[in-house]
Amino acid sequence: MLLIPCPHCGPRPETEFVYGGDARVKRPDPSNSSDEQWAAYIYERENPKGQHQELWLHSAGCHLWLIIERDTVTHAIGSVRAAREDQQ
Amino acid sequence: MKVSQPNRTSKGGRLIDRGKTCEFQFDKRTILFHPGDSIASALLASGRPIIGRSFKLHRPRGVYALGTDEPNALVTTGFGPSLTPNQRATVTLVEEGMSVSGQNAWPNVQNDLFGLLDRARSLLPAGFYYKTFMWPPSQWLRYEGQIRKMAGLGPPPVEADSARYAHRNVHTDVLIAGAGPAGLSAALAAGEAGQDVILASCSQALGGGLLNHQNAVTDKWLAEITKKLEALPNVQIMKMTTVVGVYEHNLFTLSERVAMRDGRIEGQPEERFWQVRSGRFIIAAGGIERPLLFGDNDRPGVMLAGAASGYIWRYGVMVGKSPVITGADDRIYAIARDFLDAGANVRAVVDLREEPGAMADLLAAEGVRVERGAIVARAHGRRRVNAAEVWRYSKSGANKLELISTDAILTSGGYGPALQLHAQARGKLNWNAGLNAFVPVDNSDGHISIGGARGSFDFDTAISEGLSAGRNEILPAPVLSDATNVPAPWDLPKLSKGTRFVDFQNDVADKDIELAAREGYRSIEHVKRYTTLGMGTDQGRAAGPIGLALLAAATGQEIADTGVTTFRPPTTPVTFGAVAGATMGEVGHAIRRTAADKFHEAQGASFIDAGLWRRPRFYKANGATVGEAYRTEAASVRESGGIIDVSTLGKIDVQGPDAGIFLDKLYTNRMSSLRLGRGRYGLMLREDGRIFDDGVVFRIGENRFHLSCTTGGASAVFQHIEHALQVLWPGLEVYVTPVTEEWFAVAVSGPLARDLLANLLPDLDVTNATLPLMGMVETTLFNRRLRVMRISYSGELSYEINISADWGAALWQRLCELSSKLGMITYGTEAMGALRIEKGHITHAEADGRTIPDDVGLGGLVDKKKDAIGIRSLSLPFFSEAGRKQLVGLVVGDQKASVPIGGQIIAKDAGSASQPSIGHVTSWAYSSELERTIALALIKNGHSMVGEKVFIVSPVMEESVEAKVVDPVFIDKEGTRIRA
Ligand SMILES: [Zn+2]
Repeated sequence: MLLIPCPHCGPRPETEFVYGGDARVKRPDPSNSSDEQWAAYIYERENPKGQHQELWLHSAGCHLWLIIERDTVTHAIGSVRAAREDQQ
Repeated sequence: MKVSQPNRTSKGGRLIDRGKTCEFQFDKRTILFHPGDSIASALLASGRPIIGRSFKLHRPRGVYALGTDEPNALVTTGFGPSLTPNQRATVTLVEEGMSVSGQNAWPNVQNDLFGLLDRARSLLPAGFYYKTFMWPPSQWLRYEGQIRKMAGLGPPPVEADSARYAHRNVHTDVLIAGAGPAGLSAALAAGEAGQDVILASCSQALGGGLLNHQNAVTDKWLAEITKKLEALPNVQIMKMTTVVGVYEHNLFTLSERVAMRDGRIEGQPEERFWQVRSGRFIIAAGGIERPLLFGDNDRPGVMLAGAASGYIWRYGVMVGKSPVITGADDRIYAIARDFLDAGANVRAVVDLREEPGAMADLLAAEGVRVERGAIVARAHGRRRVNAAEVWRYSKSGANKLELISTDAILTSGGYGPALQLHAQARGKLNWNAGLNAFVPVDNSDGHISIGGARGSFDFDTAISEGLSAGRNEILPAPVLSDATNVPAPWDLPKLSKGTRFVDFQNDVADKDIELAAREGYRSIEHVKRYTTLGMGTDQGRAAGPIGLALLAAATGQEIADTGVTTFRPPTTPVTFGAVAGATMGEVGHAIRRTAADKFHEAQGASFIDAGLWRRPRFYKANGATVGEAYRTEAASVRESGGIIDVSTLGKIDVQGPDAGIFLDKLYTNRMSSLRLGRGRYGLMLREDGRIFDDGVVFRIGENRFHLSCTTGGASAVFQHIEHALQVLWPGLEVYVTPVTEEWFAVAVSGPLARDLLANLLPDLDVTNATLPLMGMVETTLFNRRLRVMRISYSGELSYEINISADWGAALWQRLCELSSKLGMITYGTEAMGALRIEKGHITHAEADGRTIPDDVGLGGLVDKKKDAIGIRSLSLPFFSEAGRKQLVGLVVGDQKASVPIGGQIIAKDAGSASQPSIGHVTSWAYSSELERTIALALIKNGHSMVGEKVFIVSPVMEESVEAKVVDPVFIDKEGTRIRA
């Protein structure tokens, strides 16, 4: 079970979090994307071996959506930051 | 009946209390034991050779090992009707009054009729079941029943488990698995350095392998270090505790047998399951003694030599009075010495080496027979060993020497490191030619193996590695090629008859592995599954390396290249009870109750789970069965009216300058245009276009909205909203708060609803002008803020009244009094369901994660001119293809028929040959108003099938009813009633 260092709450067990998918996938402009581009946004996901950027919601904690750098092989966690701060 | 302990030595036994003699039952016979005995040691002391039967062949088996590597002695233990199957007799302590039974035998392990299977040994090769019983496939179910009767472990208990279990979670600096010289030294060094240490010992005593010998130097050392450790407050010593799992980020699970250590203690659980998060992990799990290959090496009385010594010193039990001891290193002489000291008549020491050296000469000089350059080729005796067939074996050839009569053949195939914990954490392994074993490669996870678990089997090295690891120093890698010239236990020729077993528990022999290799199996993972090698409760601790070596030899690969099978947790069996802990029964299932829960109970509600909530399903006063009650309740709502507790519906408060814009992105329709005090039904989609949830949104302030959502969807909706706000549109200034628990909510529905509201709130103007459909007013009751929202789920004139939750019970009571005066009733979810089906409203049965708004007739709620989550997906081409399932109503032909559960829709009568399903029933109810059974269904192209006849069938239940496709709104299509 992962130990996730929430920037707001400190290190917390994985069971307090909800996984939210690939954080690198950005929502395209719906009025300006082809069916193919939109379908790719909805349905296509990579399954990287090694470094990955993931969204996790601290649902049993501060309710921040976090962007977590995780190595899918070793589970090593790199940077953890609030998704909101990442995009503003 | 005279009970005795013929194999108990006259004195000694570090772990037992000879001052006390107690009794337990084994297969209904009374057996004596001393406190501290394991089941195995007590049975060995009683002279019982057969404790179990093997898995496949039902061969009689005795105790083979001393610890968790035991492959044979699995037993069912119990007190009264409470049974625990598949306990290893070697690590389970006996308790007064315990009843123990052997397994996998009928009528019992002593006389097992299935033992005849062994005579058919040649008919049961590797993969026998796969090859034989697969064809024809239709017969598999019949075979399976028979096979299960013959092959299996202990029976599952029938009675509820009376034992208590608990969980604990802790954080520590250092976790140490194993309390031998290496583990104890590590604990001392880390403890003295001020670290918090947990030291787990799977035994009831500290010392590990030191307990298996008598040695003045090591005994003194053990006494001293134990004293030092006990004096360190930061070192927690956990006895009878095994580290069973290694997980990500240094989480470890430990299984602790509490009652087995102390007897049943009031207020204490029998087992505790620990989750330990530790900065470092030191694996000091010692070594695993390996069996030797020879004919019938599984007979009761054949045993690991080191284990046999262990029984003398730990328990004062001599496993044989006239043993033959065989192996290829000097340990066999020390073991012979142990037996001589205990009073045994050692028949012979059979040493594979031609020139063993001084130890052999010393023992021979005392008159003990020592055979050099010889091996035991076969064990004789069926129910118990009676002779060892000894052969002279050297480079020049082999010849049969003699049949030496004996009651125990003690074998020493050398030790390999215990790798399970290291390998579970995906630690790498290196082949060590010197040890003929894999050894762990240190990794950077803060895990390190020391002592026997590292391949360092001598006392001084174990201590120095322990001290270094405890101080967090880096250890030199094990030397891989320093050959000790110990022959590998698998390098023995087959000289005589008898099956040479590799995996005792699963009856896997050398020839099974060779057969698998001949049939083309190369990967050890495949051979494991094909032959079942290493798949028992011992996880092939002893068998694994030998099986691997045999496969390597048979396929011409190097052992190092053949690899090892994956190790998975748990390393030793853990009971389900321990994993569940205290979360059983009511504790295992949290219940959320609304503010009026105890009134519902007093009013005779029958409850149903809705997520974590419990809600009144119906009130028993309205009918004896759920069917009767909901019909009465639904009819009363339409006739006069009723009240229902709807507090469980999700409520979310959304405010901020951008709240309106934000809601426009969440809902398919526009919310920003709502006037103050007005509400609108809205639909939320997932980004892929499927319906996610629905509910009503009210504007309660200039920049403030009140959202409702479904009971079951509440937490997912909140997550969805937070995702939209924090990830998709972080620039919006909006604040979102779930407020479900802050409010108590009642729906008041029916023709008399307005009268009830007026009686409740005499000062409120309840006319259509002030409170029209989708209107809201705020007022006060009991000096508390009250909201009245005119919304309807039932299709009747209806209001939802919300009050602060702490006044919910009072509101419910007041409404109950006032409504009964008007002849209105209380109703539950079942009637609510019937009412909404009559109106064609959707729930999660219809919005099942596949449907889009058009499918359920709600396409009109999608404002395609704006962007909201999911709208863009609706114009993807496949959503406009023909053949989508669409929501329709069904009127069942036979007026009172029930609809088959899981009903599928077919176009023609079920009597005709097989035909495809064109849809399925999502909900059905008996409509009191229409006086017939109605249903909602999703049917392919259903919107164009209105008026057609279909059949609802359940092939499983063999039921079929005829129905007519209609519009899903069954009553009051114009909505006259809700506007009344
Ligand atoms: Zn947090």
